[in-house]
Amino acid sequence: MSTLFMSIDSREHARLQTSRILAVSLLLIWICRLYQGLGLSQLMQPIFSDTKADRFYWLLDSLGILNALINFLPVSLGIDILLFVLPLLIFCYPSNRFYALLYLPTIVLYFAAYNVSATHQEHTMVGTIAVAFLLCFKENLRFSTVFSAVRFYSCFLMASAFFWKLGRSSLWQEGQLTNILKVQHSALITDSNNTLYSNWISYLIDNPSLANGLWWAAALIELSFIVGFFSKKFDSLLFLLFWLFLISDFLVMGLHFWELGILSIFFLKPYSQKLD
Amino acid sequence: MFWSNCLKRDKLLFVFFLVFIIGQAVFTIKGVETFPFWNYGMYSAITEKPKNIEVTKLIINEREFNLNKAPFSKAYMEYQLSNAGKSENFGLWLKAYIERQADIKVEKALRLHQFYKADKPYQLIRTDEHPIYEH
Repeated sequence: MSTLFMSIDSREHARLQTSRILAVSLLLIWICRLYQGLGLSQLMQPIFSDTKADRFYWLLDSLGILNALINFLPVSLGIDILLFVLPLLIFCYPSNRFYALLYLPTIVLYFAAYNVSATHQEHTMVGTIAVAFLLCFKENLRFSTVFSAVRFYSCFLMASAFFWKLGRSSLWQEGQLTNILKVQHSALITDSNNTLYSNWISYLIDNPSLANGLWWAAALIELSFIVGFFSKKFDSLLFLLFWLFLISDFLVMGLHFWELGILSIFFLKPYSQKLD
Repeated sequence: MFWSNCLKRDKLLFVFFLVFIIGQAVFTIKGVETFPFWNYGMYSAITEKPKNIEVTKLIINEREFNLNKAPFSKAYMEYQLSNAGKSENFGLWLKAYIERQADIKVEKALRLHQFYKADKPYQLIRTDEHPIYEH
């Protein structure tokens, strides 16, 4: 009996601790976005909007919600403030469901309004939505089930990238990364001011075998996440590979996908084991 | 293990996850993205060798504005600049945005679209000037 109570206590402790870590991560992500001028109120009522083929964005657009979010300052400012205050409240009161239930639609609306105004479907904030969904669950067993589900989703996110490349044959395409680099870093490589980074990119373009090797290495990192569907034994390695992928993305592609790093928390053994 | 545990513990969540997977499969097969069913191709489309290397530059008050050092998101500005020709009001937005975020008084703004040869040495072939704003 005492073992049972201890197990319930430790699971409760793990849930509260995980919720707090995730809330701090959400707050840090939001501060970084505000620093980059990406709060809705900071976008200064952007001119362009593109809902793409996204049915959910169409719905928000037809209801006039997107317009209000982007063009009505009190609404956009309200969203920005909520996205700052709510993670703080979730951190302070991890057992209170209300703050998380309010945070989820707020971050979803921000995600939609930002993507529509950027005219580009960005995936970098996907992790925050998955985390917001998880935080809505306060019963220990449900929380641990959804935690496992988000961990599986993180594996799917990475592994599916490999299968997209396989399915579209770009995995075998000669000079794929070299061609991508020429498009991605066009301003950098044509600029006469040589920097350490532009020299590195030029070096990669001039050495297709090295670029090919990196392309394959990235694909192998993506594929390795398939292990996560069958076992948690290699989670520490997957955690490192997740960050290796994000760092390489920055060093080779110049992409800032750090926000997605919140999903790496789901491979941290201290949390996933205690919640199991 | 996960599925059997989930079914035992919580049938509602089990159904929710099942519906999510079906939704993801449908949208993946259709090849379109709809919230919350996203596709993570990560540069999976075949990229052919470009015919020319195209560079877009933002010129503010006759000087090139270095987006790498801008006190705002470079990616967001690049998305906006790629649409610049589609609205006459873009100039007013750009002026307001730059003045607030970068604290620079904008008198004149231009978008340069430059075309370079795709191989080294990357020689400039052509430059198109697109006025954005003039006081």
